[in-house]
Parts: sequence; structure tokens; C-alpha cells
Amino acid sequence: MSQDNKKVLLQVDNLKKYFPVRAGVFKRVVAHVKAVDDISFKVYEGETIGLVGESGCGKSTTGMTILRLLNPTDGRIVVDGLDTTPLFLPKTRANKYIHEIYISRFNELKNKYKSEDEVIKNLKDDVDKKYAKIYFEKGSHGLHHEMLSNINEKRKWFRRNMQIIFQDPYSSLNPRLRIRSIIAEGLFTHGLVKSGAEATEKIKDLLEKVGLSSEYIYRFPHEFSGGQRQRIGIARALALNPKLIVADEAVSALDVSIQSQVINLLEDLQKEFKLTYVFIAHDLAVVKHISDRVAVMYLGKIVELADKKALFDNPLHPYTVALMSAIPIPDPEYKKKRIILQGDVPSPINPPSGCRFHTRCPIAKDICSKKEPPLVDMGDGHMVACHFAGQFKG
Amino acid sequence: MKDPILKVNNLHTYFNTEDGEVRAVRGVSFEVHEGETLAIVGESGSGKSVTSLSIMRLLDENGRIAEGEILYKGRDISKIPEDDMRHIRGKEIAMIFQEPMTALNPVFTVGDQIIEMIMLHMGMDAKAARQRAIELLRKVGIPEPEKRVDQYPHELSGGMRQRAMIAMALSCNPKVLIADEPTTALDVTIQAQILELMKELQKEYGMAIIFITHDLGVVAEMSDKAAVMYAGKVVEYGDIVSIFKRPKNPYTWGLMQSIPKLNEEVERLMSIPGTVPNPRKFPKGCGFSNRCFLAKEKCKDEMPELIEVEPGHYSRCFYIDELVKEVEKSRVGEK
Repeated sequence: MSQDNKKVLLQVDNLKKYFPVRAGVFKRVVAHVKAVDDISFKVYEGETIGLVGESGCGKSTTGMTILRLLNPTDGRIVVDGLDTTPLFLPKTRANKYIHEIYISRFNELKNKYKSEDEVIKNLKDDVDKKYAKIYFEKGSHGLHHEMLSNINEKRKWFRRNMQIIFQDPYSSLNPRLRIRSIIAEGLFTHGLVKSGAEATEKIKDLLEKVGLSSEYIYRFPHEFSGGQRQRIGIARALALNPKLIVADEAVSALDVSIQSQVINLLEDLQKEFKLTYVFIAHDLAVVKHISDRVAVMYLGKIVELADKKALFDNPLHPYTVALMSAIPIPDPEYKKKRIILQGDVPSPINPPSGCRFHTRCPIAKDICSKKEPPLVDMGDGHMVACHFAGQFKG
Repeated sequence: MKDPILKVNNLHTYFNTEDGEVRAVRGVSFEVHEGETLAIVGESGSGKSVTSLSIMRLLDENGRIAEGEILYKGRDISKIPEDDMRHIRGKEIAMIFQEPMTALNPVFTVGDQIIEMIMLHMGMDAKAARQRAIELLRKVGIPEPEKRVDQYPHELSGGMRQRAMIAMALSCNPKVLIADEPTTALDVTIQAQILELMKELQKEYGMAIIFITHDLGVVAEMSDKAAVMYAGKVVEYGDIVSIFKRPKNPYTWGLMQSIPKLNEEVERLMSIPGTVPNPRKFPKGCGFSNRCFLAKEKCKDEMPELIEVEPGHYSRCFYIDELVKEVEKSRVGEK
């Protein structure tokens, strides 16, 4: 695949996010909601990756965890070659993380291969290689220093480059602030402007970029319609010149005729500013339109991940097939066979054994309830997690 | 052809607010026959929900039906006393809502709420009503209805709640079912289940369905006829194939062009400029004139009439011929 020569901007490895369920007088933890359970994917610079799935599949939690609005339970989040996982963890957890993920593993490998060079040579992952080199050169202290020194600057760098557009344009803008203050906050925090006048100029530019009049700069959010507010949200995300924007259901709350305006705007801005999008949505038609690659999630797992065309022309996972067939096509003469899945999505507190989809899967066999299928590459980067991939066509 | 079961004639619904009178619905007419599904399509502020609430006579205190008639089996129910309306609402004309959690009472079990309706309208005793409630829950595909009947709404999932709502709406064999965005809050696989269920039930009971939605996919899938609403008026009305294949109103056409479709690939979506108008200040002439690519001076001052362009296909526009040319041009371009 040609993706080998593309630069990986975001790399997510074995990400898990569990939420504790507390009960009783002492608020003991009685169970965990496994919102995201061991997912891995890469996002290349300049592309749009779509995350789709039904409610409760973990797509929003994934977005929030990537942005570190939530701390992951386990796993690694690498941005631009830099492991950002420990940056937002409490000090002891950060040290423990570095020890577990890197130091003890490198030591084991060193025992196995007997030579530091061999270890580096045998590591597959570029990020691992980079940190192994530092560890072998400068020791454990050096690695900790490399990852945790200047932590405030690193955190700021991360926040500046990773932005979000929220679903609900009504609750995501502070009603007491004028548009200028809403957008200027980030500019001042990150020292991107020197004076108030410079900020005003920049914000006026941004408003024009997102299709609003620069005269609106001193208005309050309630003076705008939903679509206009979403544009303000986009301007705020753009203000810091980020590398990656997570759009969490960014067009779902908008009227149909406004939705296409915002989709077109996002596409234009992507070209102009070379943005990378993680586009989270439940509307497959929108995702198909905007994405380069699409990941389908079900109950905290990625069940299929492929190029848009491969996924929509030749879906291999039965869930993907059913999901696509469930979408009503706006053409009264378009006839298709619909697969109606039985039942509801099971609870993520106690997900089904083996393959999580087996309780609703039309082709489930014995093995499906016993063994969890891994996400494997079926060729050309078309990844699917199913024991019987491609056998169900509807 | 038989008389329509429900006929809405030139309906006007106004609200008194602090900012003066808001004319949310400004002359809406349509009719549905038994066993037929009519879709009312529109965006927020188009007046589609107010239309349905007017039919049910469930308007807030500050709202009133200012003009027009709502004929149910030939009888105008827009002005009858509330006591008489109570015999029709729920029994003859039933409604299901978008968000079942807010439409169901959280402190009563699902069963209690269905049983109440059956006892009230059908004169059954408590035992027979409970039996019927269980039957209905089974009919709408709720597993273990004997157990579910004693559960509270919060114990059911979103899809199950919507099924329970449908069971309640159907409990008295209504002749007309108004469904206000019944699947918008649901996941697509659950939406597919509910749509399928509604089609089956319609086949069995032969009721007329008024389906209110903004999702053109659902419209194409479910309905026989559609009324497209914009700024409190019906701008296009006719049978579903004719509207989708030969749209006669620039708003409908724009709407169809602006949604991404699973079965088509476009480089860039066409979009309608501007924003959805606020019911407090609809434009003076044609409601769509400030966003329309065909609009001329005339459109800003005058409201076009709803005219019959093809048999049974109506549109409200001065420049239908020009639109038809545009549509043909783009269809050729596609091929």
C-alpha cells in the first residue's frame, strides 16, 4: 500500500478505557464499563479517518481519550513520533508507565538478544526504536528525562495541535462570552498573538475563513443559528493552527440543508490548512462522503478498518454489511434486501464472550462465542476482525 | 376513490409570544387515506411538528388554530370541545413521539400506561386490559412481554421504549397514526427494526400513517405521498416517486442534492446557502426566496400559489419550468 511513505501523525496502540461502576454505601467498584477495549489504529497526515458505530460502541470515548480529555486505562497514544501517554498522567503513574512499556521490555529483549543493537534492529515500531536508542544511550534516567522534562511545554504543544469540534453547538460555546473572547482565549494561552489588536485581526480573518462576517466578532453565541455556531466552533478549533482535529458528530445536530454547508467547509479548510481529521459520526453516508479511511466500531472494538472504497464496495464483517443495509436510501425506486439485526446492542459492562457481535450475527458459529477474532489484514490494509470474514453478503 | 380518512384544509396555527404573534403554520393542506402513508418533510422551524400537534389538539396554551379545518371522517375536529376531542385523541388518532423517554411517564410501569388507555377507550376491565397489553407488547416484538409489562420505562432500552410507545399508540386500533420523528433518536440498526415493524402493523391494521421526518431516506422508504414543508407552508406535495424523480420545487431539489448518499459518489456536495428561517420573521414573499438560486424580484414580494404541475403533484413556485430545465441538465451531467 502506498501508505508506507505517508507520515503517521497519530498512532493509537492497544487503547483501553474502562469506566468504573460504583455501587453501595461505600461506593465500591463493582464492575467496569469497557467503553473502549483494546483498539489500535494509525492516522496519516492530511487524511480523514471516519469512526462509525452505534451509540455505546466507544467512538466518542476514543475521540476524547485521544485528545486526553480522558486518561486512558491502558495503551499508548503517539503524536508525531512523540509518546504523549505519560504527559497527562499523575507523576507516579507516568513513571510506572514508562517502566512497564519501555524499560522492563527493553531489558527483557536485551537478555534475549544479548546485544543492544540487535534489540533496536528487531523492534518493529519506529517509536519503540527511538525510545530504545535513548534508553541504551542515556539509561533509565535519560529516558524519563526525555519523556517528562519540560512537561508544561509538551502539554501545551499537545493541546495546541490537537483540537476538537463538538456535536452540540448550543452547549459548547460559553453563553456569557463574546465570540472574540471565545476564540481569543486559546490564542493568548499559547502566546500566538502579542496584543489585543493582533488577536482581533486574527479572529476577524478566522471568521471570514469559516464563512461568517467579521462584523460578528463582538456578538454573543445566542445571536447565532445552529449552523453559524458550529462555524464558530470550527473557527475556535482552527485558531491555534492544529495538526489534528477530532470532529465528534460535528454535523449531526444540524438541519439537512446546513449539514452540507458545514461538510463542504470542513473539506475546504482541510485542503487549505493541511488538516488531519478524525471524523466521528453515526451517519454512514456522511462518513462515506468525507473520509479517506473508515473504522467501524462495535462494543468497544474495531471490527473493520479499510479504505473508504474497499469498505463500502466490499464489506467483510457481517456487522458492517448489516449496518450498511440498514440505512434508508433516498430513492423510492431503489430496491435492496435489508438485513434486520435482531435485538439490541449488549451492555459494555458485560460484553459477550468471544466475538462481541456473535449474539446478533447472522452467521455466528460455535467458535465465535469462544474465541475472539483478532483484527487481521486481509490485503491492501483492509483489516477485519471476524472468523468468517467475507462470507456474509446479506 | 374513497373519501380520505383525514383531510387538513388550509390550516393556520399561530402562537402568542412576548414578541408578538408567531405564525408557525400558514396554510397547510393535505389528505391521507386508509392504509396510506404520508410523509411530512421539513427542517427545524418549518412547522411540521406544529401541524401534527394541531391535528391532535395538543398545542400549548399560547397556541391556537386560527384558520382552516381538520376533517376526520368528514367531521371538523379543529373546533370541537375538549371533551369530545378526548374520545378521538388516542382512540381514533394516535401519536408516537421522537423521544420515548419524555413521552412515557417515568413513575408508572409500561403496562399501567397501556392498560389505562385500553380501559378508558375500549371499556375493558382491568384483567382483560392487562391481557391485551401483553398481547400488544408481544405484537411489537418485545421479548418476554409478561415480564416487561410490569417494568418501568427506564428499565427498557431506547428501541424497546419506542416499541412500547407504538404498542400504546396501537392499543385502541386507531385509524390514523401520527409518528413525529419516531426513529431519529435511534441507532440505524434499531431504526431498521422499527420501520419494518411499522410497515407490518400498517399492513395488518390498515391505518393511515402520517410520518414526520427530516430524513429523506426514511421518506423514500416508508411513504406513498409526501408534503414538503418550508417556512410554515407546503411547498411541494405529491406521490413519492414523482417528487423524488421529478422534483418541481427548488427547495426539494436543493435538499435532495445536499445530502450525501450511500449509493452515489460526488466530489462536492451541493449546498443551499443561508440558514433556515426563524418563524418569527419569515420572508415577506416566498419563504425560500432569500436562499433560492432561481429567485427573482417577484419572489421577494409575492407568495406563489400551490399549483398542480402534474396530476396529483403540486408545487409552490413561480419558476417551475426553469427548475425543470436545471434538473434535466444535472441529470444529463450525472450520466
